[in-house]
Parts: sequence; C-alpha cells; structure tokens
Amino acid sequence: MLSYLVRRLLHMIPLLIGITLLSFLVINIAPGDYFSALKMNPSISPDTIREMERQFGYGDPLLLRYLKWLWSILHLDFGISVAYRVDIADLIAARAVNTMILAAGSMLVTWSLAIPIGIIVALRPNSITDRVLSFLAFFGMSLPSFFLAFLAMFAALRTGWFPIGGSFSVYYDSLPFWGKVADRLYHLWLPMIVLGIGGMASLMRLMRANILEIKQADFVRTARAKGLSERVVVGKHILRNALNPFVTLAGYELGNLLSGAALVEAVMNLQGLGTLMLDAVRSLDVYLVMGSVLIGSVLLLIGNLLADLALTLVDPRIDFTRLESAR
Amino acid sequence: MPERRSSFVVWASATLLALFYAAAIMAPVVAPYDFAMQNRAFPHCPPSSLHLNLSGDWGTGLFYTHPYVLADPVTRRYEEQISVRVPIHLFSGGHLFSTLPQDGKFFLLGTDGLGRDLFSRIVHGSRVSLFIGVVGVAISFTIGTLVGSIAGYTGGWVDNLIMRLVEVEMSLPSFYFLLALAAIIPASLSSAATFFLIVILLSFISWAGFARIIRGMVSSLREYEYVAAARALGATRWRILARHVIPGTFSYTIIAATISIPSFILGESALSLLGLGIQEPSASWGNLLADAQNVQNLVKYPWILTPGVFIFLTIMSFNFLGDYLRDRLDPRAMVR
Amino acid sequence: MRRYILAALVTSLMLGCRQDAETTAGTPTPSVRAQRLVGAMLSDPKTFNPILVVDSASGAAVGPVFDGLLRVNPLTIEVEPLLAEKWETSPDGTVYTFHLRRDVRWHDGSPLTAADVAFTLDAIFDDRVANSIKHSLLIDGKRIQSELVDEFTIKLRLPRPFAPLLNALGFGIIPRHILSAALQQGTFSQAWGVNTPPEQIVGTGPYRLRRYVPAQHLEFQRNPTYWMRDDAGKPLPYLETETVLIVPNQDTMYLKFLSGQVDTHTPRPEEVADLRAKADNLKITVQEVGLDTGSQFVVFNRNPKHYATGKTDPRLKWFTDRKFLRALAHAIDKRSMIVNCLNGYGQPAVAEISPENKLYHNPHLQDYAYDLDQARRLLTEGGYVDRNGDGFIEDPEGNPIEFTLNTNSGNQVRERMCSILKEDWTKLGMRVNYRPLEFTTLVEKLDHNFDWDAILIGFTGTIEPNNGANLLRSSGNLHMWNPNQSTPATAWEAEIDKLLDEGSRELDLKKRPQYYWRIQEILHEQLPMIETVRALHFEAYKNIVQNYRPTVWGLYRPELIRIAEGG
Repeated sequence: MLSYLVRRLLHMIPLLIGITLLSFLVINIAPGDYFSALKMNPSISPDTIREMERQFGYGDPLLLRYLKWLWSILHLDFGISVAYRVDIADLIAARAVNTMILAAGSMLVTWSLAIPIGIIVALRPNSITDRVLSFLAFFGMSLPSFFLAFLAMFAALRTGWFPIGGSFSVYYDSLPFWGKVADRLYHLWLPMIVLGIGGMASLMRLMRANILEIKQADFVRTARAKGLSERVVVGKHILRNALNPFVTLAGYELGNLLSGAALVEAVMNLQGLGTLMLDAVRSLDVYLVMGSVLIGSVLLLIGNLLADLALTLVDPRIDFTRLESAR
Repeated sequence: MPERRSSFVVWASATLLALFYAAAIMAPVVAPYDFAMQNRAFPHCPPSSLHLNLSGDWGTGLFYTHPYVLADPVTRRYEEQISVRVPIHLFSGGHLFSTLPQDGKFFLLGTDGLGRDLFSRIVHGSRVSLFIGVVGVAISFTIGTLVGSIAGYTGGWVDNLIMRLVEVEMSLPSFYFLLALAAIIPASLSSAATFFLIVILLSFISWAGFARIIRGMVSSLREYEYVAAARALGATRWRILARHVIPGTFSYTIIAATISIPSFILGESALSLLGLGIQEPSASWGNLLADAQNVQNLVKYPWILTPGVFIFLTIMSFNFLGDYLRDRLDPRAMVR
Repeated sequence: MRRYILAALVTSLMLGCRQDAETTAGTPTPSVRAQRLVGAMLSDPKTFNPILVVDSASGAAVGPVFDGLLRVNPLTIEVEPLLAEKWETSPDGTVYTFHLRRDVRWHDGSPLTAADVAFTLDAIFDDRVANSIKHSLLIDGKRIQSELVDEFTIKLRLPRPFAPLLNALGFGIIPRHILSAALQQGTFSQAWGVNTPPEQIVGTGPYRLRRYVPAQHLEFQRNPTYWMRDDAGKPLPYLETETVLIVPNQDTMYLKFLSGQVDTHTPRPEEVADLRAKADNLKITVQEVGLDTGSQFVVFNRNPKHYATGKTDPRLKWFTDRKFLRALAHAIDKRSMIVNCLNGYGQPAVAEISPENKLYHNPHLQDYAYDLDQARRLLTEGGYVDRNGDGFIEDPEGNPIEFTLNTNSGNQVRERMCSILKEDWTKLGMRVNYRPLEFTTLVEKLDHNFDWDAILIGFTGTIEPNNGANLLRSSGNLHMWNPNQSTPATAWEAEIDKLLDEGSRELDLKKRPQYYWRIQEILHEQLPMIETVRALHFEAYKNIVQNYRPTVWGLYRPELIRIAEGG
C-alpha cells in the first residue's frame, strides 16, 4: 500500500511538469503582456514600464523563465503576481479556500439529496413517485449550471433574501471564528445549491440502478429468508453494497467540481480559484496563471488518487495490481 | 429512467432536435430580420404582442401586432400603441414570417441593448451552437477512436506512450486550460475561423477519456477468434482494425457521441459567455447570454435569458436520446 | 443528538454576534457606526508609496495619508496652499520660493521640514526610481533643482518658465528620516509595498493607514495631530475612520450600496434611473456630477511604418484625406450612442478637451452633424464612388474601401458604439470589419507593430492640458496616429508642437487658454481623432453623509465629511 502510494506520488511529478510546461508555452503565445495596459496610460513613462518589466524578469528567453519558475516552485515560492503585487501563494490560498468550501458544500448538497431520493425511487420502481422524480432528475441534469446560476441571481435580486456576490460581508475581519464560518456559509449557500443540483441527477440515477441490481442478488434473498426486518435488509445489506462505487466517485467529483465551480463563480461574482484564473488569463499575468494551473492540477490528481485508494479500501476484491493495469 | 420509457418523450426530443437543426440550416428564412440589424430606437424592447385578426379584413393579414414606442430613454420604458396595427406576413419576402419595413417591427422575443431582434439572433446563433456540438464530437471521437484503437491493438511501448499522453490530458484541469487556450485566440479572426479554432480547442481537451475506453474495448476485441482468423489469412493490421475491430466499438461510440454533444455545446456557451469565444456582432447562444451577466439587466429585461432556455431544451433532448440509445443498443453499458 | 448540535450552533452564532458589536466600535459609543464612512473600489492597491503610484486603487490608498505642497480646488479649479502656506514667483518665472507651514507633524511626531520636500524631489528624479510623476515635472528633459533656504523655506529653480508647475505639485511629500536610507541603497522601488505593516506608512495627511486586508478592505484612522481646523477652530477631519471595501465586481458593488453596506457609490448609467426611483426609500441622494473629463474617439492610423508597401498603400491616402474623414465624422450617430450605450446620460463630444475644464475647453467648435447624405456627397466629391457596380465604393484608383475597426473587448459601452459605427459606415458603401480585441493586444498594436486601421479608444482628462503632451506632441509615444516622429510629418502637427511649447511657457492665465483653444481647433479640422460622446457622471450617497461634495475632478474638501447625528 505504501509503495503504491509512493509510486503514484512520484508518477505525479512528470505529469505536473508536462502540464505546467504546456500552460507556460500556451500563455506566452498570447500577444502582449500585463504591461500593455499600463502603456496606454499617458502619465506613465516608458522608462517606468521598462523598469517594472525588468523587475519581473520579462527580459529572459522563454525556456530560462520556465526553469527559473520551476526552481522557485520547488522552494515553495510561487512568485509575485504582476497584477496584484502580492505573493501568489497568498492569493491562491485565499481563493482556493473559497473554492474548496464551495466544492465541499455542493458535494454535500448533491449527496444528501441524491442518495435518499435514489433509495426512495429504487424501492418503488415505476411508481408515480419514481417517474416524477426521475424526470425531475433528468431535468436538473440537463440544466446548464450557469443558466441555473442566472435564475438564482434573478430570484435573489427580486426577493432580496440572499446575498448576491461577494464571499464575505463588511465586518468579516472582526468576526470571531464561528462568525466567520457562518458568514462564509451565508454567502455561499446559494451557489452551493446551484452547483449541487447539477450533479445530483446522475448520482441519483446511479444509486437507483445499483440498488435495483442488488435487490435481485442472492444474499438479499437470504437475508429476507432469515426473517430480518425490511429496514435491516435495506439499511445493512443493500445500502452498504450500493454505496461502494460512490466512495470513489467522490474523488473524481472533486476534480470536476473545480471546473464547474469556475463558471458558477464567474456568474455569481464569487472570489474563487476559477475567477482568479479567469482574471489572470485575461490580464496575461503569467506567474499567476502558472500557479493556478499547478494548484488546479494538483487538486485534480490528489482527488483521483484518493478515489483510487478509497476504492481499494472499500472493495477488498480490487487490489493494486488490478488498479495499475486498468490505468 | 424507468425501464419502459414512454416513447413519447423520445420522439418529442428527436422532433425538437430535428426542428432546431432545420431552423439553423435555414436561418435566414426562419429569422425575420438580419442578426446584425440594429433598431437603435428600441433598446431592450419587450416582446411584441401577437394578435389574431378575426375581423375578416384580410388586408391586414391573419396575424398582427402593435408597435412599441420608447417613452423614456432613461428608464427604457415603452408604451404600446394599441391604435396602430402592424400586419405580420407569413411566407413572404423569403422569410417564414416578417413585417414590411414601413409598417413596423415584430420582436417575437424582444430586443437587446442595440435594438437587435433577439429571436433572429437566436436563430442565427443556433448555427454556431448546434453545429459546434456535431463537428466537435466528430473530430474528437475520430481522434479518440484512431488513437485508442492503435494503442489497444498494438500494445507494448506504443500503448504505453499513448496512455501517458492520455493521462496528461486527463489530468489537465480542463476548464482552466480551456480558458488559457481561448485567451490566445486572436479576436481579430473572422467568425468562421474563430468557430473552427474553438471546435479544435474543445476537441483537444476531450478526446482522451474516450480514447482510453476504446483502447480497452479494442484490446479485448483483439483476442476474439475472428481476429486471429483474419490474421492467419494474411490480412494487414490496418485492414483488421478497419473491417473487424473498430466496427465492434460503434454501438458504444454512438451512445457516447450523443451524450457528449451537450458538453461541447456547454463548452462553447461557457467560453462565449465569458467573452472568449464567438465575438460580436456574430451571435451564438453563449454570447447572447453575456448580456444577462449584468444582474440589473436580467431583472429589468428577463427575455434576455431565452437563449439559455434553448440551450437547456437542446441538452435535455440529447440526453433523452442518448439514454434511449443506451437502453436499446447496450443495456450493460458502462457509466461514463 | 440533532437537537444538541442545533443548540450548540445557535449558541455559538449568538456569542459570535455579540462579540462582533464589541470589537467593531473603536469608540465607547453604543452605536456601531459613529463617525465612519464606508466606500468601495474595484481593485486592490499595488503600493503604499505615493511616488510609485500608477493606478487609481493605489492612489485611493495613499490619498488620505499623504499631503502635497499644494492642492487643486475642484470647484474653482485653482491651486490652493496645503503644506505650503504661501509662495512667491520670480519675475522671469524660473524661481519659486515656497514657505511651509510650521505646525505640520509627521504621523510619528517629527516635524515636517523643507528637507523632506527636497528629498521627495530627489526621489522623483532619481534614475533608479521608475515613476510617473517625474515626466510631468521634467522641463525639456531637465529636472527641477531645489535649494534649502531655511528649515521651512525651499526654492525651486526651473530651466525656463513652466506654467504647469503648480498643478503638478500635488504629489505626496514623503519623510526623509524614514526613507532616505532606502533611496541611497537603491531599494526605494521596493519600499512601502502592500506587505508593509500599516503603522510604518508615515505621512502628514488627515488619516493614517490602520489596516489592509488583501481583497477585503482598507481602513484609515483619523490623524489626531492634523493641523487643519474648521471655521470654528475644531480640528479636522471629522470622521474617525474610513473604510474602503475592495469589491472586484460592479454588480456586487451596486448591490452592496442598495443594501446599505456601503455609504457612497458611483453608479453606472443603467443604475441611475433605478437609484433615483428608490432615492426616498433608501434615503439617498443621487447627484449629477458632470460630464466625463476625458474623451472617447476614433483614431486612424497614419503611420507609414504600418504600411508594408510604404506610401503607396491606399489606406494611408484615405486616412489622411480630410474629405474622407469629414464624411466619416458626419456619419457618427451620437444621439443613438447616448440613448443606447449611455442610457440617455451623455452629450455629444466636439472638442478634445472636456467642457468640464472650463478654462481650457474651446466652446466655439461646430459639430459635424449626423447626416448620411452629406457624408455621401463628401465621399463622391473626394472620388470615392462605386466604380464597378458591386454596391461598395472604391477610391479614385479603384481600391475598394475596406478597413478594420477595433476596440477593447469587455467594455460594453465601447463595443456597442463600435457596432453602431460599423453599421452606419457600412451604409456609406464601405466594408468595415469590426473586431473587439483584448486590451493587451490593442496596446501591443498601438505600441509595437502598428498593425491597425481604426481604433475606438478613450483617454482620461486632467485639469492641466499639458499633461496630454504625450498624445498631442508629434514626438510623443502616445501620439497614436503616428507616434515617435523625429520631425513633424505635417505642418499642422508642427503647429501643435509649437503651441504646446508656448502654452507651457505662458504664465498669464488670461492668455494661456488661447494656445490650447487653437490646438483643439486644429484637431477638429484635421480629424486625426474623431470625437464621439461624453458620458454624464453621477454620484450617490446616503443622506446621513454630510458635506459630501463630489465633482468631476474629485471630492471638494473631503476632510469636512461627517455622519449626521443619530446615523
């Protein structure tokens, strides 16, 4: 187990280098750079701009700049953002927290809705409840997240019940810890629901399919024959087995949420990793882009790793060698 | 979905999609006005009312509407002139329905900030949004099939190399990468060139998952007897692949393709929404929604959300179809 | 079990809220607000060093903390004493003697002396310090020399008379006893970055920087030893604290204002009508402040470098042909731009200098009326007619009239204006390709490869007309239509150069405007840039905020702002 873990972690390194190198090349193909905006300001002299460019190392050849960046990353120095003039690490950390809360929260929403509903419809297949709920699930699955976000903003503005945009309120900084948590949740609960509904449908359908399949299994009939109550049969035997695949899904979902969250963040005016990436890309803030891509990839890969690990823990039939060959 | 799905839903989806694609192909006919035509005196005009002419006076046509007049440019308040009738002509002037310029305009879904008819822009925009799905899937699945088949059939170091590439591609945070790529598209390109570039970008970030599955299918199909027989008969590798192995993947491919088209449509919509995709004055459903990002506009002029409804209906139809195909063609299909 | 969790949550929330009330009030008064103003801005500051400021967010961060020798009264547009009590000018206009106030103290207690002023100038002119203040103070490329007369008196020697000098002396004075070491060691450009602890930022202004939380807010605290007093002798400023929220999105900013979290707001055109309707409910005032101080214009590329084939490229001929340009000017639908892009709040722009600059604006210029027939007539006269019957016009040599119009994407107002321009110019028979570009790409084109035809762009305006020299001078790097000329390419550009020179020498304010009026006249005739429209600006603020007097040039005497009792 440990050796597998180490091997996977080592495996991540060339992967990350490949990804970051690719991103670096891509972002440098774009014409112009961050300082182009400054050049338009009549009161900033060209000398000023040249000096700033030199400060941020813009004069070196491309590969050298990439290697310099790689070297500083190994020292955990993400560099300084050209646009914000603060440490990129601080910037990313602050935004990543928001995105993580959003991702975790929406996963919670998805799961706490999908699993119960999945169970309910699976226990009454083809009933009215089943048809209606399944149709609604399909509905929710087809609704684009940004469209739902627009509708949510519309509702929020019309009713004034929810905050629109922003991740914390005016006095956030002076709140105690629990106050801060509550404040964040207050600002994020609507986006969490928006994101959560999208993933809910497919999860629910999966749950339903799984349970239906298991219901036919032998061990369930045995359990019933033994005289166990329906509640025990469902709770202990069916559910435990039906939930197995979901543990791994959590890991993959984490990765996907990073991407999905970015769009919802942009529409609902939240300060997360996604909007940071968007701004960085728009203003060609190279090192910020690199830092964001790196963190995004790391999170995705860790999510996948956790998912694979969870799979082996939950289902002893699968061992690592089988996992490896499946990759 | 219940095992015995009502075929009504499936037929409705197929019909809706056929309708959308037909309208897209014949956009200049279906749309009453040109997509770039500005009616500057009607910024954010609400949808025109539709009335049935039952008076028997056929001179004014079967349908008519009343023109709006901008009463207050600052608050964009409109007043409807009930006394004036603007006849709507069907099947004339090369359009499905239209009005004569001197009579007035009929805004089925209202207008945007420059007074452009939203319905016309939606119809023209459907060309981009609908075909990006089809073209994108075609490209990405072709690449995926080719790459996956070669990897699965050949095995060895070729397989390894390709799987490494696939891994890199799947480990990219796709949306972030898409943003970075889209940012380097020069906005000075023509809309046709932009369309193709966006299609290529979207395909670039989505072929890998499919390739991996094809590889898995191919490597197991490879062991079948008929393949060994073909090889014994002296068939070349390519022939075996093309005639025997790849067709075995078709049923899966069709299902996966149908289910993937929505993600391409969404990808383009997301990019255009963020201003990185199709540029003005060309229309796509995504960039039409960009107007809705200003929440004030959204509340005051809710008809600007209609492109979103069209996106939703298209996606839902594709999902229903894909589901139906999966049930028919491959009941034990892997969950993607 | 669930009940206990719920109870725990509620209790902790309640505890949290109570603590909040205690920690936010700086003074022992029971009301959380007291004399505190909350504003908002779109981005984070990039530096706290007033010399290194290049963006508005950093300007907003250092503005309350540092004072300059003089400041401009935005109502009268005249220069007024601030740190300098009075000054004299030598008869030939080359020597200025400034007498500093004697009662000014730095935030750390040390007295302000003339040595600080001299040090500030040294920092500005230092070669190692990249800053933008320097280039509005360089006179023919030479620096201003300073001479200490005594502890509170300083003489400034100029190479020649320079009218813009007084307007340029608003920059913040920095403390010599704290920053001189950095300047000597060459680390001045890194000094006082945004990571600096706030208590180290020492100025002489009415406020101290109390806190900066990145991406959240800036907090300023009243300077108790500030020298300025009101008419009754009470010390200023009235406000105890000022908070500026950092809100990167304009929609969110508007919503925060609507919900009362923010006290002042600069509404966008589409918000104004809404705010006016709600003014009584929200207890706010919506004030019309004035027109844009800058201008938005279309500029055409006359740079021979752009044209690969040298002077034989037909576009160069069109863009230097006055008939062609005048025809285009007559086809700009300014009224529609105001209705569609500015929600009705704006005026057509004629002169390059805004009417808000009452001294230097030329009010006598006649606008080019929106008249498509007149435009077509001018084109026909110039030889631009449809020669081959394809529905589009060609020039006298038969080249079809086709060009590209760019602007920066993401600016909805400008994008809409370009759509209107494209449609109207197409009606004249030309092919106009409209492409919005990323701002960085746009600047790249303007700056480096000159690969553009026509661009719609805007410039901010300043009270001092000489600050636009980079744009107007033929050798200027922002002389967009043909930058960095070694000698003026046309007679009228040479004339503008001469007028700029003479204008900067003329100290008599009755005579000085003439030069700039003539410049505006030339620009209006030759049309290297065609003006479009100017937006009307508004400010909204809560009624309990008293003495809040915004103008297009800034707030009038912000130290007088206070919150009404009971607010």
